[in-house]
Amino acid sequence: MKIIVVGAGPAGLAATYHLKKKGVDVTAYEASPHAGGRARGYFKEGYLIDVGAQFAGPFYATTMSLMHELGMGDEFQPFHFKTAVWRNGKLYPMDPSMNPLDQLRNLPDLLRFRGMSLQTLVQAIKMFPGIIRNYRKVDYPHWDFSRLLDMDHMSVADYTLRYGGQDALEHLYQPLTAYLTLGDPEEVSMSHFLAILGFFVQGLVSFKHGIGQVSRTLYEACAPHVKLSCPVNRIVIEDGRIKGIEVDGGLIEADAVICAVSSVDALKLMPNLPEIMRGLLGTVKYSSTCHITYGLEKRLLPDNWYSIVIPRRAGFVTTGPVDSSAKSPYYTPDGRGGLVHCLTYGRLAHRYMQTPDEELRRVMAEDIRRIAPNFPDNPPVAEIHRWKEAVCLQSPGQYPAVLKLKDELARDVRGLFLAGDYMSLFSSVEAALRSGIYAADKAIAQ
Amino acid sequence: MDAKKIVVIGSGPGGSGIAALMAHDGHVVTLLEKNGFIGGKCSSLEEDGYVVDTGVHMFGQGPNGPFGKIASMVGEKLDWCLREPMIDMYFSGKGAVHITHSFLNPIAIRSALNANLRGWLKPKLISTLRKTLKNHSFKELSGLLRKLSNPYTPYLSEYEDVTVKEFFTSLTDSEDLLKNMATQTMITMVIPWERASLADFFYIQFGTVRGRGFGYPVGGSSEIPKTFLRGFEKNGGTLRTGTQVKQIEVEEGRTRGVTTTTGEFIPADIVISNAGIHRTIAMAGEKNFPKEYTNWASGLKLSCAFIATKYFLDRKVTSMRAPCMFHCPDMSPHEMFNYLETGEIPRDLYLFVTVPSMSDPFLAPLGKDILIVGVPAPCEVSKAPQCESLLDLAEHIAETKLFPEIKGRIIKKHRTHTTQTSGLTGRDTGECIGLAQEVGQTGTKKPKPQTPIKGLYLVGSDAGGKGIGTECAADSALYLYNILK
Repeated sequence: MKIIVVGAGPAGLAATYHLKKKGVDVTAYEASPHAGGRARGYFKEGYLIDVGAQFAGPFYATTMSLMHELGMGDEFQPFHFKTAVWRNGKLYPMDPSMNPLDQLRNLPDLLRFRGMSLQTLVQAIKMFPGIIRNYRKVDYPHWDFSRLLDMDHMSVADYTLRYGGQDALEHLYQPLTAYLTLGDPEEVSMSHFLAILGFFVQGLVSFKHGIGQVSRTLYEACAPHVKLSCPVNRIVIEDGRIKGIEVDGGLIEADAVICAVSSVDALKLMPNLPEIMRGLLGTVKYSSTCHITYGLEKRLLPDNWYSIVIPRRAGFVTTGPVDSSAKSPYYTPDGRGGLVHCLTYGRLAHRYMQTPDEELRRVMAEDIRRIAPNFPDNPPVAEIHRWKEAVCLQSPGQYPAVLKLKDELARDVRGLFLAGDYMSLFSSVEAALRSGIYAADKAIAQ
Repeated sequence: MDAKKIVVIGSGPGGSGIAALMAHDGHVVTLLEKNGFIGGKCSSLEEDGYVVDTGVHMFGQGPNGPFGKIASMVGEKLDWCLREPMIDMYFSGKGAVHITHSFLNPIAIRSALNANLRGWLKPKLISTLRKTLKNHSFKELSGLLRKLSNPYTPYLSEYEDVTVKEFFTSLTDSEDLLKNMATQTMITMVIPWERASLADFFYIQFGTVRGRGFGYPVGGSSEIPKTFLRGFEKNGGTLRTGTQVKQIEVEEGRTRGVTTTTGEFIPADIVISNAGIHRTIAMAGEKNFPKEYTNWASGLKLSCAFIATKYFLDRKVTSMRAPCMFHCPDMSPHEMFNYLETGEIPRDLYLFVTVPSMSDPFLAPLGKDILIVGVPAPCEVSKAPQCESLLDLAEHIAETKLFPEIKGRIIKKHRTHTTQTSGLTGRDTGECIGLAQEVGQTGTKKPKPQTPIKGLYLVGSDAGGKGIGTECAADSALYLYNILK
């Protein structure tokens, strides 16, 4: 039995690793010269640059068990951080933890906090019971979000305007949505948002060597089976079953193909997929972003501050700079200095995609200087990554469409399995790994 | 319902709105636009990477008002930029008060308190209260407040014959408050406050507060008609730019179609004109209308014009916090706009300044800005020389007092005044918002979309709608849609 995996992002790598462990003949094909896709990390001049995924939570069960299995169990550490809220030209530090003890420890900050207007606070409190009630429907241990399906027809903006108000939307939910999905609240479904809330309620986890360590370890574990810089032109489907893949060298036949690329690429790879499935796959939307990482000699934000929350009305280009050096000392050379990530977001982001690099660096630097005037003119590292498809947005209606797609696929196309972050409501590294292993299991069972 | 043949003349917010709505209902709609581009007075053109509006625009309710309603009805989405603070009110030589979307915002409170303490914004609260209670009964005031606090902005037609000036001078003596009201009227209705109707004033102000959408569309003003027209073309409508209508053909009191300047006849069951009431009567032939209608129409007064200088800068504007501001001259509110009548040049000017690229950074090359300085002016084209000297003064104020940082950083500047506006609309005058929303010709006395000729309808800020300029036009499209439906 021969199985081919297309794409070596977290989903593809997990599938490859799982199949290899089971002793199946498996080969993964990756178009780019690196494995890891949207969860990759690399070093540049001593700075560890996380490309793509930034957050992980304690409920990432698959990720953790995979890492333990590969001898990287000591990679995780709970990540406790402070954030600051930008309002009217000033920064107000706060502790996003839900633990009352942490709040008590930061009492002075809490008392001085003016980052939210009274109206916002009133509206947020008004919405609180509803949010908690719906949040309780999430089952993280089983990674089960099906009970949130009844919230899927509403976007975050719809929900907030109905149960809270404009102020809560603009000053609380919009910045949160921008941070976590790089999209606007108008585009993200409420069910996805509720699932993401786990990051706040349960706290974050950081990886000593960045979240890229997951894909790095997985890649090392199954390196001989992964062919890098080997683009797949087409996945060949004939008479409702899979035939193989077409690469530059010709057709490679296989019993099963696991397609672990983004939905946009999947559509390009499979032009003769039945129309109904193409339609369902087409409902998956992504946010786009330009991601700039500045390596700095000095930390930009005060110690222990990780992020800055900025509402879109303030007219910034970025969601707000994030200083990764707060996560672990391995991020910067000798544990000194700062590492600032800036990401464009929302409705204007796709228009920054065409902006030349120099221009983008300048615009971002101007933005950061509004917050921290001591930002240097020539930071030692300024890496730019552009993602046309950054984070799966989970717009209203996408999750039911994906569930339907799974059914259709099992019935109509034999031997084709889809994997990727878009397969689960909570699109994340965990979702990608899980969907990869799930697809691998299904492929073996067939 | 039978599919009717409809011709719409003009692609302003009203014309493109009604065209999109009718096409959505399955009618065969042809939209004729005289210019090579769409939008009329609400268009923007690109030049050297700067997208510059033909007018001076900010929009009151945005996606929560008539624009968003039409867009969602035709299945399109209008992207909107909101900024906090939304507008700066600059007192000549003293400082600015920031106005925000929410009254409780500390920026707004702090700047107003600051202005108050420094003594350049004196509300004279006690005398105001005394005067208010002297001129109005408590019952009347509480009734008004109750009506205005209605969650659905009401149009108080009982106030349509009261001018803004009459009402507010009966409330207060404070020059600063009156100045605020006079400038607010000019900004939203583009007529002096002694002519403006109070009912429209209330409707606009409270609509803006409730709509919470004071801002600017992503991609420039022309994005509004463009959004409508995307829905229009999706539903099979035909858009013909560069086609000017010469005549509306009328036979036995009903329309047959239109003839273009090239001599082509386009048959239609319904003709909808976005060309303004006067121009429409001229196109359809005055003899086809009853005498009293044409007489009444020719007596209707137009709003003032907004002439502007548009600066292309090679740096960002830093003197403003909000994307737009108005500059209150250091003069009494009663003589601020006298120059519109007398024709002389005042010593200080009321200015409305917008920086669209502060809302949407892509309207200028990144890191640069586009600055539009607008001045109210008389709408007659014959008064063009006065326009030139008004703009000279406006540029002087802007470059020396308001934005000292732009000195030496101006790449190019353009002037648009009444001649250009009238060229754009094809009318003989350069007014900003069609018919003035003034006492005697607004509310119940405003021209209706229907005309004495069967099958000929008007749309645009001249016909039916309520609100600020472009929103009034879009509202009129909704009004007409309800009639034709």
